[in-house]
Amino acid sequence: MSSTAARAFGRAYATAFSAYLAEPDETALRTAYELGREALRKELSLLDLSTAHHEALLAETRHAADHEDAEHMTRLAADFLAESLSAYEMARRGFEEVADAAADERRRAALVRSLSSLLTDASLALHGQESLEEMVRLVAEQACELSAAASCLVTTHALAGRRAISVAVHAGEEDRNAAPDARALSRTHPLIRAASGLARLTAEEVRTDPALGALRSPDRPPGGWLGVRLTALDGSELGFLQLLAEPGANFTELDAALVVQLAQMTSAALERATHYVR
Amino acid sequence: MSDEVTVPITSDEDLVPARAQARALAVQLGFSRTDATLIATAVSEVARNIVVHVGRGELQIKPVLNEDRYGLVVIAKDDGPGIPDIQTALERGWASRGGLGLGLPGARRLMDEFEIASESGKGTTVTMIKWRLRDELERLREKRRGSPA
Repeated sequence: MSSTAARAFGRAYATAFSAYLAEPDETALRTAYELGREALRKELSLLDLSTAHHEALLAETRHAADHEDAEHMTRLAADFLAESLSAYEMARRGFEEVADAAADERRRAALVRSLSSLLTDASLALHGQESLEEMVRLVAEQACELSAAASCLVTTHALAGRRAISVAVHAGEEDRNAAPDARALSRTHPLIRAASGLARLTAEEVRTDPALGALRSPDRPPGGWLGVRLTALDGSELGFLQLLAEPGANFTELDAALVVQLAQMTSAALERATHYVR
Repeated sequence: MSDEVTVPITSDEDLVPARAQARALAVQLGFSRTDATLIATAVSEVARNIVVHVGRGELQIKPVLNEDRYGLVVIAKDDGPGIPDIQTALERGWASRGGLGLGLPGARRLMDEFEIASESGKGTTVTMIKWRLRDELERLREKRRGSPA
């Protein structure tokens, strides 16, 4: 905001503040709030707003009848200032949310980058069934970490002479006890295929859909579910990756996008590993 | 203590009585002056949302008295066209360069609980609650008095 605009704001603030001191009611407080809202919209610095307040208070207390009158004005001024700053408080909290979300995205991006290079190296160095299973376990662990899931199950078909793999990873003991087993979760494969490779359900959908009994535990409320198909470049199916959220929690669009990316990297690694074996 | 109060919202001027009722109840419930200001601000934002996007609606303001905490509940209702994408509406303000994070997203950040129920063509209900914890000393004093403040 230009200095001209800041001065104009100062005058408007002083006028409203004076009216408030004469009649300290909700109408006057609302005016303070609107002034602050307008100041935020016009990108007035918080420092300019606080200066405007200070100048307005100073101007009024100069005309105070006595010390008590000045003290009374100063006490009333606190409520007026709080109202004028409330819009900035909303913006500050919004900034914190965005900063937290950005930090979370950076963390996830770093995890994905690290996993990408790990999978690339691992898929070329796999020597047997055990090392393939280790790689799949790493994928399941990272999927849980990336999406804050309660459980992750990764299953692969029998590939290039190797046994089918089924690896489950859980965030905690309660999650382990409540998670459906691989056989139960295999009933969701048609769902994932029908959804063109990515299926996502909310906790409410899991709870209420009679066809999704396999995803429910008798011991605790369900969370959301994510299922992704692992596919080779030629489109052939290599396996599945499924995630279960904590009770009542749901997976977001970002979770889904990250898990799809993870599934693509895993599919590429599996295909490289089996191609190398051949 | 005041029971439920309903404030009709039909114009910008109705923001003042809505704020006043919310602030008065907040003071009765023992909220700090800062929290009373934040509640009044949140009320302003949801009421303004009704005025700007629908034209008319109402605000219900009421207390919730639990053993361990007091709450101030605000329910903003309108019969407007509904919000087609609630998630986007709550994120609006940060999605574009000109956004400031005010409006419904701003109100959400100032309150402890915030829910939107909206159906296309059937209006929108925003329910938000601010809580104040009651410590043991306050509860003991209340028991001695024999009734809530």
